Amino acid sequence: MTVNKAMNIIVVDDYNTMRRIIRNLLKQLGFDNVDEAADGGEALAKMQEKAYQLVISDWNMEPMTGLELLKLVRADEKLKLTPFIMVTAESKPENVIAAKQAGVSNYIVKPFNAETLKTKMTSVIGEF
Amino acid sequence: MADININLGRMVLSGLITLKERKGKITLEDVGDMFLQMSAEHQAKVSEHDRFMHEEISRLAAYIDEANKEIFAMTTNEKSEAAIMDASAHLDEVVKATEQASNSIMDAADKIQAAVGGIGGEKETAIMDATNLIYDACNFQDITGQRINKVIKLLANIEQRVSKLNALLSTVASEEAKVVPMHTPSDKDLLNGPQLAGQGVSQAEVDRLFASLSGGN
Repeated sequence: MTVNKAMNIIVVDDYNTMRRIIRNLLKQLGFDNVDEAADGGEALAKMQEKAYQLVISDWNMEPMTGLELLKLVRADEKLKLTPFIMVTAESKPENVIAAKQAGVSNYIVKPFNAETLKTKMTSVIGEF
Repeated sequence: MADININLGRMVLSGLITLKERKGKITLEDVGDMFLQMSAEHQAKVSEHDRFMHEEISRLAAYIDEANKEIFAMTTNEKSEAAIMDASAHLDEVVKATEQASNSIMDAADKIQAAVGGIGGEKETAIMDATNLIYDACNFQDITGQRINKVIKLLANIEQRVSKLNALLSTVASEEAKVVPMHTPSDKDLLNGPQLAGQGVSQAEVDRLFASLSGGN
């Protein structure tokens, strides 16, 4: 499977700094069509308006957490198959299990670099 | 409650045995006296325990109050001093300041990348790599921000509970402790990061767990 680097990606994180970092990492990997959302609610609204081929979301956000967003995405008939990577500082086994049970595609522990992001993205969307 | 009843039963039994050994015959009046004496001893113990607890909680409340004042006193920026009313607000300012600094650093990295873009060769690669490292290093703001926000919530929670407990003990020192309702964990209860160095779970461990949950991949 060939990955189309023109794919639409949405980065969800309440920290502007983190969104910029992830956007820069994606740019390094050749992905330029990146939108941002500051919380789960905003992300969900954007996902209803535009088709995204990958969601990269933080967990710890208010008022809607990344886990809540994931559950809503998986419960939505139109969005449920969208690949979803959780990027978070929440790394305890119970977190990973809860995310997996909710249908997360992969899980990245912060802080991380472009190489880790590439490995995880490859396992979710294929080689690029 | 069951423990208290068992202990009380043992005390009564022990008192009756002692009384029987000492007097040979026990009257109803003797039993009444024994209960009065036991009750007085028990009251003294309970009061001493409650007094100790009350003193300790009062000290804790005073300590938190003092810490708040000390942190407030550390404010050096006179302009923002009026806005910073407590420790939580002060820590919140730290988060904002680091976020602002991180954005300034990344703005500068963006400008460098734009300036060298297109010059080509090893120099461009080296400069691009270096600016990407600057970006990666700005991860610190997200991690420290999350940690500080957790401390802010913790401080507010402790302060609120100590204050409530202190008020309660001040007015109803002898009231029995109420049973705390069972806590039902929610999604938000799973928010426990960021991990501390050497205490959390590494990416490799997360990967192993994730693979085992996926049935291996």
